[in-house]
Amino acid sequence: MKKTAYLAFFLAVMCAIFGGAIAYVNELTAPIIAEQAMAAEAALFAELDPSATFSELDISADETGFITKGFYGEGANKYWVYSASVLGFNSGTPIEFLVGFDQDGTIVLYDVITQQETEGIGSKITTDEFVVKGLNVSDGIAPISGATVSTTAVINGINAAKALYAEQAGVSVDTTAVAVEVPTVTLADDFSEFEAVCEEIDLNVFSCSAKGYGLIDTANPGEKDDYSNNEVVIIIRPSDKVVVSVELVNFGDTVGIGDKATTEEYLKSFYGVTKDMEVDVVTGATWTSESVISMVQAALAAME
Amino acid sequence: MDRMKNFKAGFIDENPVFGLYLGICSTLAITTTLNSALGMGVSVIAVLVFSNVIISMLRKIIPDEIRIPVYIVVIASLVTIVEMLIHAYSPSLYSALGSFINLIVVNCIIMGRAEAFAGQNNVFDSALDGIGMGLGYTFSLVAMSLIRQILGTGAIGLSNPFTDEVIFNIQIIPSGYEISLFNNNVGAFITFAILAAALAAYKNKKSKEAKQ
Repeated sequence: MKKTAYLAFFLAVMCAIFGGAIAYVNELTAPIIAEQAMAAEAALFAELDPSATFSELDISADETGFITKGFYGEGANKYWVYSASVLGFNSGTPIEFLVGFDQDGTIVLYDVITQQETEGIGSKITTDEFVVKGLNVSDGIAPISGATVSTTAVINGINAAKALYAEQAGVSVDTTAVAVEVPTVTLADDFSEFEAVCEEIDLNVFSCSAKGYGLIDTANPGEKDDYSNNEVVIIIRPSDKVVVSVELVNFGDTVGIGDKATTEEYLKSFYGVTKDMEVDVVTGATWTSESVISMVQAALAAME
Repeated sequence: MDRMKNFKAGFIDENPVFGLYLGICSTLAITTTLNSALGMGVSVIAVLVFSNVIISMLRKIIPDEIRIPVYIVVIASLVTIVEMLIHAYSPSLYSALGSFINLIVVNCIIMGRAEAFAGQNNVFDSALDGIGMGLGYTFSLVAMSLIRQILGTGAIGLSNPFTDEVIFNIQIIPSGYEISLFNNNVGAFITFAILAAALAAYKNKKSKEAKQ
């Protein structure tokens, strides 16, 4: 017993000594690290308005927990800038970004500071494809099809910032109605009008064909010669009947419109789906999206 | 004890990465650029030398039953300190090395040398062992990063980790002829295998010559 107590005491003393050393170094480095973070923010603020001076805002009214810091600045205009941290598709690393509004309610700043979302998919939150800057505080922000998890996470953070801005700038913003939903359908819906047919060309590999926009009577009467069936090859994992690959073989719809629903990113959004699951429809390319969805549905049915 | 022989052991005979296969995880992950390799190498040298020195100083008072937990306290504290210093003084290196700075705690080289060497030897020899092994590890990282960066990006470059100022950047392979495979894990494994095989072949040759 005496020996055990001595060993515990020795270990505790060691922990105390080294804990003290860490605390000392932290005291030395913490101000430098904080200064660097402020310098990075200051650089962004200077880009926004070099004449503006910023001070920190109280963010205790934020109920979502997404907002980590708030700043108010006055220069050529008045600015409210919020730093937010949200979890996207990569649950290990949060997406951290700045969003800023001016006194007219325009989003004048949107900058992602850190993110490790899937390259080419979730990382679209950093590209011009994800339109945030220039919108009005009352405008809805559209998530990107195929990157709904990452974009919706950022939109939730922006909505939290909008709510704080509305309160602190004294403007009225309906933050509950601003999110634009990505249209979705489920694989249990009826897509029989697309007449999707699948043939198993190899073990668990299906060659599928379905009508698209141009070949369906109700959609486009006449000029059928310009169109052909859409064709894809779908691979399904037999153990749990999950789609593991969708590859385009033939695109038969309108070039420049329907092909938004046959991009690699959109086809990748089917990876992991199974019977009855919800899937995205690409806005502006609904017919082609549903043509692809009908083929995925037919392949899953053929697997049953 | 032959101090020079002991110091040199980390480079070839007991090279921690290609000879003893220790610390491979971080080696494969961070050898995409010469800057990351040198940054990681210097960090490991600092932790290894200080942990060896502290453990050697305390070796006579550390009870044998709790020596491993004490080593972990020492090593984890040193790694935390190194991480804070890198974060404060070299933010670009901090983001390039990412979580691998924290993972120095579980780098087998450090615990291995604490247990095998510093726990039994005096402070001077332990410090020398730390420098030798750390340089051996850094040498391995630099060798791998040179091959991977040249083949993967076509150029070799180095910048000041504190100011991000470019020291040199030489294009060796014309643009379009790079082998991007060497930027990812597969390229890391291939480079590692070739260098480990080369070291094994060299050691075999030396031992055959010694027998003759």
